[in-house]
Amino acid sequence: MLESAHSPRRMWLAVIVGVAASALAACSLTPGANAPETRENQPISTVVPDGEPISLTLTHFEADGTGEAITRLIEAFEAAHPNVTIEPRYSAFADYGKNVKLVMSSNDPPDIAQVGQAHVMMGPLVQAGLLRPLDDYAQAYGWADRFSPGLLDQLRFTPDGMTFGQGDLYGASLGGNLVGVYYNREKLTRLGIDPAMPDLATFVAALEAAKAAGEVPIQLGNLEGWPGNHLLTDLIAQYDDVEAIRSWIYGEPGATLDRPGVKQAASTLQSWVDAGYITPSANGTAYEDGTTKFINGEGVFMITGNWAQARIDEEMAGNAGFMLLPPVSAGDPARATAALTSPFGISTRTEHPDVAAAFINFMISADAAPELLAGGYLPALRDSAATAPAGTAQEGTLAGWQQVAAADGQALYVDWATPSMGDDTLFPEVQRLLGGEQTAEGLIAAVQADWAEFQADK
Amino acid sequence: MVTTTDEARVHPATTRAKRRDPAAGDSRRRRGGLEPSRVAYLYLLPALAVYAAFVLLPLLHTVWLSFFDWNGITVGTWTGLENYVEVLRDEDLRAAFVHSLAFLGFTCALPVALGLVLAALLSRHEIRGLAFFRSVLFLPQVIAMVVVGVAWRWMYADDGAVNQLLRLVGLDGVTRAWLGDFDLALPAVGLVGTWVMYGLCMLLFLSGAQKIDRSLYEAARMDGAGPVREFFAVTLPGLRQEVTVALTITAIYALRNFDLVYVTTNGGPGNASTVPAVEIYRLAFRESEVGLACAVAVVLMAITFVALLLITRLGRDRT
Repeated sequence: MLESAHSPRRMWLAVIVGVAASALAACSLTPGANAPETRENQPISTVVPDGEPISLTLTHFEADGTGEAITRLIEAFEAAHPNVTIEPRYSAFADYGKNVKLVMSSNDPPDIAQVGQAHVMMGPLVQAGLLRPLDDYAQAYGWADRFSPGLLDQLRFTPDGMTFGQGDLYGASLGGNLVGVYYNREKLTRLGIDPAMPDLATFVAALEAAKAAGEVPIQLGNLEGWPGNHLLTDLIAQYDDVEAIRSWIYGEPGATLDRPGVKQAASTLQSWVDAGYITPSANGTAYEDGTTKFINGEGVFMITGNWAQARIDEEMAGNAGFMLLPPVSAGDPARATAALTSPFGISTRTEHPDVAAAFINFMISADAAPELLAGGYLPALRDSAATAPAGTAQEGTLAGWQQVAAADGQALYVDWATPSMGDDTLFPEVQRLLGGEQTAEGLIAAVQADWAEFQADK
Repeated sequence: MVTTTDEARVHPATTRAKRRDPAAGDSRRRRGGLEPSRVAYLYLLPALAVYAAFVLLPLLHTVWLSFFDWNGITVGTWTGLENYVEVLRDEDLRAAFVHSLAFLGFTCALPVALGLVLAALLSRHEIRGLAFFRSVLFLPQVIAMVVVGVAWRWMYADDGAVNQLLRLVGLDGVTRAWLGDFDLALPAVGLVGTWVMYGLCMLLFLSGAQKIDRSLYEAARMDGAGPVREFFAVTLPGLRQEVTVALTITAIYALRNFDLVYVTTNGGPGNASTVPAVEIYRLAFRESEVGLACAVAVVLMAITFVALLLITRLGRDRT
């Protein structure tokens, strides 16, 4: 009797233990999988075979204008190659980042996928052998001649997926992006300020004039943390050596951010906070809300990227301009927080690497350039003859981008340096600096510590 | 008396029969299928299977992954308890857990206290339009948390409703962009949690108060108890079960809180309002530290279990 009273409980236990054990066995004891077989050594071709129907999938996170440009390029490619269909799959950036590793390691990955540079997306995918090195195609198609020297380095990774900026090429970018200064034309005219500013001192004088006139000199919505970091990095690009910043972002041994130029940039930003040049509500205002305020005339300047340009031009209708943050000394080469847009790579498991590469090649060709420009891309190709309507912010972003590209002045993004640099270190530290809770030295020490920890682990 | 003799008559016979042939009972059972009580377990099996597949297994899997250094794709490395050491060592993660304690205060203790006071007030008197007030106070529960977050983000903005109200009453000096304030961002988000939860608590307590025997109130009044005395002597003891339920629901919400913080401050400014769930998200999806993310999740789960254990004990002890 006693035994039979207990046996259901034992049965339960047996069921639970059994289920748990089989589950653990089923998902194999160690998580993850080794790199799949690659097809690297197969001969490649730049010819798209005709006849047999070929179908590719492409995942991306480009919304609005840039997304439409991709759709139109797909249509154009399909028209040129009637046997090829390319199915685009869009997901919003936030979701895309969460899923890209799962999608690319699934049994049916997309043939072409957009992968953000650096360690958050591209690094882990390279490490897992899920992205195909593209050097053979780059050579066959002559990609190196289309871009300024060094520009493609930001799409390179060592095969272990740990060091970036060198090694194999894992993608191609359709355009560029760039941080600079938007200004309200009407307010500048009223303040008697000439937007052609030769040096940073002139810009600071303009901030002071705006402040004295009771205006908000710099509008900023920094609730998310990332928008404010572009003020700091754009200043770093002026005060520090752009080569040194890049080698630090690429994680080269011995690189450090603890340099006088960086310190001067951080101190300058701190002095702007102290002088009241930056709106005191920055940390409590969402990025888009800050942009809305600027559009509505609350703020003479706003420092952010060209991604805001389409909205600003549309809603300010000729009242907005864009310029690069002026150099420390007049005549210094153009420098800015700038980089290529998130590149497109090819899955190692695609059955049609030639066709996938042919489409990527088409997207970065001169034939595709007008469509990309119309979609809002800054042209990544050298010798671009693109123009924008006069008196728009787009005119400024385009001119600025061309100046920076010609001077090889892209400082890249500092938060690329390590996987945790953005959300965990740099962005909170900039919020602290803007909130008067951190010093320039403290910020640099925290950022450098994050960098050192990542370099030591790899 | 009759029954005893009946039992005495029946019992020895059965026991004798069993003694005579112990195998007979078993073979009978095999032929006739399972005992009724065991059949009942069979009915539970589908639910158990679903529960095991979607709750127990992911849970065990999470615990298992927390012992690995794993980036989410390539083969992980067994690191034992290293991730847990990291959870204790990392300043940001420790801060996140401290913040979740603050959320326990704002979205658990405070709403329950507020709900009790409101329920006591509303149940004592006949209030015209009670149903209307109840609906209005319960409204925050109906709205999706992301919408609540976005709405409050705007209300807390420097030109938002909160500051407009403050300016209206002449408190211009204290206006600020609340979510950008290093000391006040966490309480500001916490109060949104209070706002979301107190209506639910109040509703629970109101319905609980209705089943309290009216004669107890009459007796208390006859004994000369005032409203406060009456609350502590009659209402509160009568609502013990409801308080336990409310504490359980709100404590779980307070500890696993992700959406509210993610939408309003994203953990900022600095890391002044970050919580474990936000850190889990960052570690797993952005920093490719799946093992560490799992360790944070396991610690969070353990804390939640302890909190719930304390709450149920609290509810039981006083009964």
